[in-house]
Amino acid sequence: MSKQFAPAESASSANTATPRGHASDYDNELASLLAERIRLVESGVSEDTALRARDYILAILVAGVLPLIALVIGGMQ
Amino acid sequence: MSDFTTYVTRANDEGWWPAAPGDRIWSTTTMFGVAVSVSVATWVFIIGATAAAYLNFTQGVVAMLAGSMLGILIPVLAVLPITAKYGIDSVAALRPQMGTRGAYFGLILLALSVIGWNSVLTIFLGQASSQIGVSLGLVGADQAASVQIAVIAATVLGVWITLARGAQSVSMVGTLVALSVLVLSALIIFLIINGFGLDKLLAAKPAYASESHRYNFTTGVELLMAINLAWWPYIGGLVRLGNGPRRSMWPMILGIGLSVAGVSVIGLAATLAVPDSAGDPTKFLLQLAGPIGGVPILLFIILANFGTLLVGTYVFAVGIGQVTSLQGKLPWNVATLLGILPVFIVSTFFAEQLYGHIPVFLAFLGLTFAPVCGIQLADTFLLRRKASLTGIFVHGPGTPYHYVGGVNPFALVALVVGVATYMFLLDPLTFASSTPYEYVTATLPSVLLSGLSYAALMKWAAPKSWLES
Repeated sequence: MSKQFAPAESASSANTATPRGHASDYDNELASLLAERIRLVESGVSEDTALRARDYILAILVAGVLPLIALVIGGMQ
Repeated sequence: MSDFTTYVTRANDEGWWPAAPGDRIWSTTTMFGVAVSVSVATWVFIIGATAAAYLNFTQGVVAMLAGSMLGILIPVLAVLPITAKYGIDSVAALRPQMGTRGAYFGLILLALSVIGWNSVLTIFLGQASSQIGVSLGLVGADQAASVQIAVIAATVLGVWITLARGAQSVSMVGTLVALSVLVLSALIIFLIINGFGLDKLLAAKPAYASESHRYNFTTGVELLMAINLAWWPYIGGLVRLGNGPRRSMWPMILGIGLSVAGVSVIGLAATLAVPDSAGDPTKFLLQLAGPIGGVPILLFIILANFGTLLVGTYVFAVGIGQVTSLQGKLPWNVATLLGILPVFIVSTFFAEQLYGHIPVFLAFLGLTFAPVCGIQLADTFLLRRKASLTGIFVHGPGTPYHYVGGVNPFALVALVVGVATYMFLLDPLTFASSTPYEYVTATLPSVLLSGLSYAALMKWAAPKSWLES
């Protein structure tokens, strides 16, 4: 994929939804709004709410390792 | 409001675009409440009853708790990191792996899973209502079938009308319903133990247990894993409205995984105590608590089912909104109708066929969702780690996830590997198994092998650019 990709630029060929019967200006406007939304969402991603290694470890321990131990013991009964 | 503004508003409300940070307002408590109230519906009784065919009470409790937690962990790790991070649904989250068009496979699974489960709930709702009517002497036994169809039609219509308000209607299913469901579940367990005695419950033998203890135990675990894998579409649909992955993860793991396991114990206990009930609360509750105690509990279960139906249909409508060629052309009410109308048809005309094949339906869910999760897990944790939001939402040649005509052929190969692995280990139609199924289940190897084959193919056979975004 050699083409340099930029959301707003590629909008004219992109398959963003297009209400029937509207001109390409409309498509471009929608695509630029979508690009704006994507920027907004990406900039709103906070490290405070992101999953960290300890979150994964705790989840795997509680919902993965402990159940597996229970299964091994239960399976041997 | 202009055409343009309307379109953008709908793109936001109906999930065509990632949810704006300002719209992601569900707190951890709200998320937990919705997760519990959505997961606890009639299906948990049926699941418990299915496990009771193979396991006694003690084995069943262990197998269901462990299977449910393991089962929910897989889709949570596969889909939540990206859906909760960007406010997108599960189908959109599949685009980096399957391709912009290949992700429609996820939509097909979503549709089959949601319509299947919603049909199970609607059939129960119709049956329960007609039986309440008969037991209270409100309708004659000969009118029960007509009442059932009328209730199904009213339910479907009610869901459709309520969903006209969009995402707002989903928040109706809240913490209060969740707490009430949990309290009622504890009450039902008490009624069962009090009515039949703990000794009798512990001594009860499963009706269809095979001679192999390992097969019985593993099959109980497998069924619970399968049902929890089927939360794949729901997880994205719900967490996209929450405030980030960390605040959504535990509500999903505990709110769904633990609730499903805990309340399934009721179905297990009821079926072991009253084998003829097959976990159907309309049969064992009226027997245990009589019409005066049993009918209010049943009415509440019916109400809880309605909330679950609502969320399922909402998730379907958001999912179908990912079909880009339909965006702006498919009114919201038509999208919800497409989700609920098949439920009416199945519930009215194919109720016995579906109810008679619940284990097959569960195995089908494991068969299909396991490799999808395996591929996403490998992509997130072994390969890409971070997906491009632009690539997910802007399609066409030259975009990051276009691959070959919008489909990633290597993901398809990995999918086939996962399905073949599952089918080798467990035939979903007959439940005939091959070693080492009784030691490893069918779901876990399917997740593992589909994920590893996807990772290997993407790393060594795919163009390097396919992993650059």
